[in-house]
Amino acid sequence: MADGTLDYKCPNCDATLKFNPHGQNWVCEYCRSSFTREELDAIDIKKKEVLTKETEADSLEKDEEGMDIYMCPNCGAQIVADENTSATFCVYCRSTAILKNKLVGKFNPSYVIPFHKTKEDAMEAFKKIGKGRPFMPKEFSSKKNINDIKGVYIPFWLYDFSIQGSITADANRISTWTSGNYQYTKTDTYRVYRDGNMVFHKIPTDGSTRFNDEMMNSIEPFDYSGLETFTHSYLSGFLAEKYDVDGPVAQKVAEERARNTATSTLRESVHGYNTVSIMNANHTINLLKQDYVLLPVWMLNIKYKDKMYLFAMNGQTGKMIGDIPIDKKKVVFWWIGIVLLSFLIFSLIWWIGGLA
Amino acid sequence: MKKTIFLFPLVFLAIFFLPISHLKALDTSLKIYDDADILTEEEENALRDEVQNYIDIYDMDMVLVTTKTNPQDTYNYAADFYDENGFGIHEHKDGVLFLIDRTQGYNDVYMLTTGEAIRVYDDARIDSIIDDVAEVKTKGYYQMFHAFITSSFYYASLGVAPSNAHTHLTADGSLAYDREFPWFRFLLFSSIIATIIVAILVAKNKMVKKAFDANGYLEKGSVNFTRKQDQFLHTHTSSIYIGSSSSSSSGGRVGGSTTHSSHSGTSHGGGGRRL
Repeated sequence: MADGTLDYKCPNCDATLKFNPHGQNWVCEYCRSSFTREELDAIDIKKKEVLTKETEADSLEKDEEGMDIYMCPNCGAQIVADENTSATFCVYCRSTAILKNKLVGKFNPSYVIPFHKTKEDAMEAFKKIGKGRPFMPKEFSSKKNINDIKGVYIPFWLYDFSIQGSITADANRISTWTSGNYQYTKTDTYRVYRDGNMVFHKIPTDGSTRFNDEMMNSIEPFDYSGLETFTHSYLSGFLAEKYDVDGPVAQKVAEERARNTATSTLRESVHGYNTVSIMNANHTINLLKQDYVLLPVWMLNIKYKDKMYLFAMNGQTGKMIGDIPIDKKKVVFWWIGIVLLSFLIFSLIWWIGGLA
Repeated sequence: MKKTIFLFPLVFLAIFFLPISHLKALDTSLKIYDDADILTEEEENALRDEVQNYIDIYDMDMVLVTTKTNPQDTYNYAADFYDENGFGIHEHKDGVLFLIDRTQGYNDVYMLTTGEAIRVYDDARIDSIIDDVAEVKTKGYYQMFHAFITSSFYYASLGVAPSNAHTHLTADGSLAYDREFPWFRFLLFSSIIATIIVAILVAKNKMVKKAFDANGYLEKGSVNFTRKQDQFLHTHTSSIYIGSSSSSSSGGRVGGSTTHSSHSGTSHGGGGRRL
């Protein structure tokens, strides 16, 4: 009951500490002191006591729409957040507010990959998104179109599986030869069996329905060597979500991906045939490990010609994804241009003497 | 007149040596070589005037030949006679030769075309000229030659046969199709190339894709096969008839004219039959 918002105070001046992705440390914007994870952990126990006191008076309410209302520990204003938000900002004083009760018990992530890319990195990356994409409307990647940008720790389930896979395929070996006035085609048909075991590590599944699964697929992969044991301090300065897709549901999605890879892995060991068609694939999946983690993603809302476009950047690797609108005029110009150019090249070659 | 009489023994000698020597020295201005001796001198002179007229008007050579001592087929005899005596006008040895071969006791006729004449007289026209000759075969050899010249005149006046309109003579005198600018094909290929490139570039703007596999998460060394079995089920052999492989020939049909390469390597058109 005593849970409420939580932020990290500078041990020196009591201002809000923010996580700094480039230095992978925590900095105080007021007194410019910085702290490592170890330093923060050392003072954490003391901090927790203070927080409990400070937040004791916070009343947790629910309004009619199921939104939770918190009191900002910094300025006392009310913070409204829905049930899946676990870190947010106070709209009045812009201080970080971690809704601590959201990430306890089964919602407590085991690991987190901290942000390595800053908001500026994300904006720079968006500016360069038109590189190698000539059909992007000219002004689309302008920074002024970035309507909203936020760093979000998105809940992911990571699955380790071992698979006992088995495929059965019909394969044909075809040989042709000519004898006299006849051409002969010989088809030898084989039934091919391939059984094998394999292990998958940390197949990620987006645990939040609020984020588009395909977008989350597209910012993969994350470098899991960057996984850190979770502490709330990483959330400071960012938004965070808690999962609303249960483990067993997410597991099915990861299993499907593993199954497809198992089939193709076994299929790749079938050599020496002209055609191979898989008749049956039967895989037994054992769940080795399930982890609940938070992964860093920059979400960008782009407004271009009164339409909204959603972009996402992997907060660790900087991979930026999103569907860019197509400038149809450019497509037409390019098409005509390429036709003319290649016609010219053909004509030139013909004129020189090639191409009958 | 005197000149012709003077040259007569020479011609006779040449014709006598024809099968062996392939006529080394022959007066190519005579144009009529009656080895089979089936024309009178008057007839020859009359025909010679017509031949000269043809040569003057159409700027192509015309040679009339008869023989009764031909060891080979009519085409080769005609072609060798034309090539080895150096008949023909201009670079491509333009001209026609008409042969009546009496060796077998029949009238085996052959019309040989060379150079520009290949383009003027296509297979159909040659056939039609020989038809004209055949029509008068009962009226004697003079009439047959006369019919040949008249018919040749007629077609020469029509110019290049329509079937050979898009052909030309190559440097070695053989017939080849004109290189026509294949604009339609080029435009089609260009459009296909442009469409492929544009499609690839359009696809680049779509970056949000569902992941179907977990290839990046498979532990590389962990794949361990427990069964690799390939079981033979059955075999099936089918055959299709592809026809006999056609023999290569030294000639071919380009436009409306069938041509062959002669012993000397020159390309000739022509046609003939037994009348």
